[in-house]
Amino acid sequence: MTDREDTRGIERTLGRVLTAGTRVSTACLALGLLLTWFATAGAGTLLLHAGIVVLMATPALRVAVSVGAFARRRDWWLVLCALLVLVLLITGILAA
Amino acid sequence: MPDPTPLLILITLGLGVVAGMLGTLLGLGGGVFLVPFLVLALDIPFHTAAAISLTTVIATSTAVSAGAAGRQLINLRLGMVLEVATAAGGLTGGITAYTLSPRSLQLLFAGVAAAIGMVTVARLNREPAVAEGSGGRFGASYFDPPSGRVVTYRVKRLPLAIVASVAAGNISTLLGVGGGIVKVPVLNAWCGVPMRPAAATSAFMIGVTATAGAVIYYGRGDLIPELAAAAVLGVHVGSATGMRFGERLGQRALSLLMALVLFTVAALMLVRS
Repeated sequence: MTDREDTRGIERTLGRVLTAGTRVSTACLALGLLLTWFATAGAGTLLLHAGIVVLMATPALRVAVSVGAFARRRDWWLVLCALLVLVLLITGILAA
Repeated sequence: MPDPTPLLILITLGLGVVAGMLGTLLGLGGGVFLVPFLVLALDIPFHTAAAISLTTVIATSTAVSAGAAGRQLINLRLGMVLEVATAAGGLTGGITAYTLSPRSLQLLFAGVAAAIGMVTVARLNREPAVAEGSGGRFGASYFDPPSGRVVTYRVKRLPLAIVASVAAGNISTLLGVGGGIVKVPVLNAWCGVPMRPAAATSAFMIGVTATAGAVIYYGRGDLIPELAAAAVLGVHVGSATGMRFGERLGQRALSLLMALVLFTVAALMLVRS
């Protein structure tokens, strides 16, 4: 497999993670908004928070998946970068 | 913090549509339009407006990158390195955001918007960077539809790109924008990355940058979930509409529209503060 094809494969894998994240979060947010509007607040608010958490987790998940993908390619420099990004994101979550 | 009444939710949804449309037309996340709308028109506190805007930036980045994946426009190698810088900048931006007063944040926003407007006008008649040579360590190749060939480019001045990315991350969290507004011009004008891969790589990184900032605001309780949901849904609708319009407008008209909007935003923010 050439490097070019290999990179395209990783891009597609990451693309699938992003597509799934977009769909799940958008569904949660839309449904949550409708529920808070037309029904009692409880379930709706929960769905809204779920949608926001999924949305914020998607880029982080994409980075986590790319750690594995770069490791399989033995591209240790990129593995290091991806791990650093994850550490920074986790630091932010812990600080907040 | 304002109460999310149905009317406020509807207005936010509408603002999201406009921001998503303008953002897609002009190749930005839309945050640069959404924050002033929320602060100036709806009187929402700056931190809350930034938090709402950052969630829409994550949504735009995620949706756009999902669509671009597999087309080889995104420079993964360069993107991952710069992502470390934007994430670090995003985190430190979260700390400074709470030490600056709302007034200085509005002034900073006005300054950044005006500066970008001026850069846009100055670049109106300039040709984008031409790719040359073989890829090298961080370079890459992509298929360029207008010329119908595979273009290879080499990344120059990587340290400058890293510094710009730290600054972009900082501004992103502070002002609730994506930061592409800083990275794309720098990558294109000084680092040898052609416009299309520069925009795609920047859009790819912005999700992580905005997340680094958004979690801080979210954890602080500055995000109003109803309004964030409305804005995100609006931006999705607006981006889809913008993509259809975008093909009909010329690049020059788009750049002028962008400069006009930016100067208006800067003037309004200045008056307010």
